[in-house]
Amino acid sequence: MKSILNKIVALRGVHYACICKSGEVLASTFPESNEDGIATVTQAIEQMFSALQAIDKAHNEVYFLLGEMQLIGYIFYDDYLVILLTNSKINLPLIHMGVKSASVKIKTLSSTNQPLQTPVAPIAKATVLPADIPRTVPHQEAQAVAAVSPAVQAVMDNFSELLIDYLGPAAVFVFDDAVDQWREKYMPTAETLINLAEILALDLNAGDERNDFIAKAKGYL
Amino acid sequence: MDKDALNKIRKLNGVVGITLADEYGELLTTTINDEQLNEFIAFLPGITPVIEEGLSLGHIQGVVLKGPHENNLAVFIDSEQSLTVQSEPRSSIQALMKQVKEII
Repeated sequence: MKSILNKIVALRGVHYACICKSGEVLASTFPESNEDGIATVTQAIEQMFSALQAIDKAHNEVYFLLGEMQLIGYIFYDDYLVILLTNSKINLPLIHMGVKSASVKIKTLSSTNQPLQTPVAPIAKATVLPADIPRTVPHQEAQAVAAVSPAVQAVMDNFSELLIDYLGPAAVFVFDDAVDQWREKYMPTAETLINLAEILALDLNAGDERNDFIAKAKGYL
Repeated sequence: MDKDALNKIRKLNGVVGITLADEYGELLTTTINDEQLNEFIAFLPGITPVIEEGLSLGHIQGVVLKGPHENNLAVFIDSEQSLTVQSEPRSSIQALMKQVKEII
């Protein structure tokens, strides 16, 4: 859960994020000093989405406009709520992609009955520049499914870094999704790392870009 | 808000309906025929003070709601009234909000 939130707040323009369910904050990067305030906010937004559900409306995104900032709420799987405090000018498609990816992972964590309540230390964060994007992707959740050897993990980290060169911040989410696919189809071993590279390449432009990526990825094998 | 301004907003590209409500949620005028949606629209400005207090980041100037297969809702809030503009999902909510702000 912690890594899911950290990936979201690593996106440019996102200051804080929290995940809630049924009125309870499961994890948050908002300052602890405003914990009560955020709890109140999340309850109000959940109430608003409940009101919409009660009248059979499918609105699942809300934006509260605060001048230079905005508070965004996304509800998914009926009762999970992700709240973000962002700049007013942000790359919304990227944020959507991040939250969509996070929602799948939260659902997976829920279905495997892993503990969801992992309190997150507040992150003091100002403007996030591309250089601030984590160069390695956290993989705690993946490790919970099947451990990989340190050598394989090192290559995976190299793939992750390489992908950022092609996709920028979105690489964080694409990489995680690709790893999930790879783990579903293959044993996560050194022998199948080339398959991971091929899955990752599918998210790049067909032709030179894919070939270039795979060639560089092979250099890490 | 005068009738002329409301008529101009109604005629903007992509606008499906509008509702004007007072600070107590009483509907002053509406072209939205969905009674339940109007009830929700009247309720919405009531929760914004709660969010303002919780966040301590100042006044909420507007609220936007989106969803799959639903019309967008853009709510413009001032101290005495709230104007809700319902628009087609494929229309640009940002462009519409800019146009509405220019009119009001």
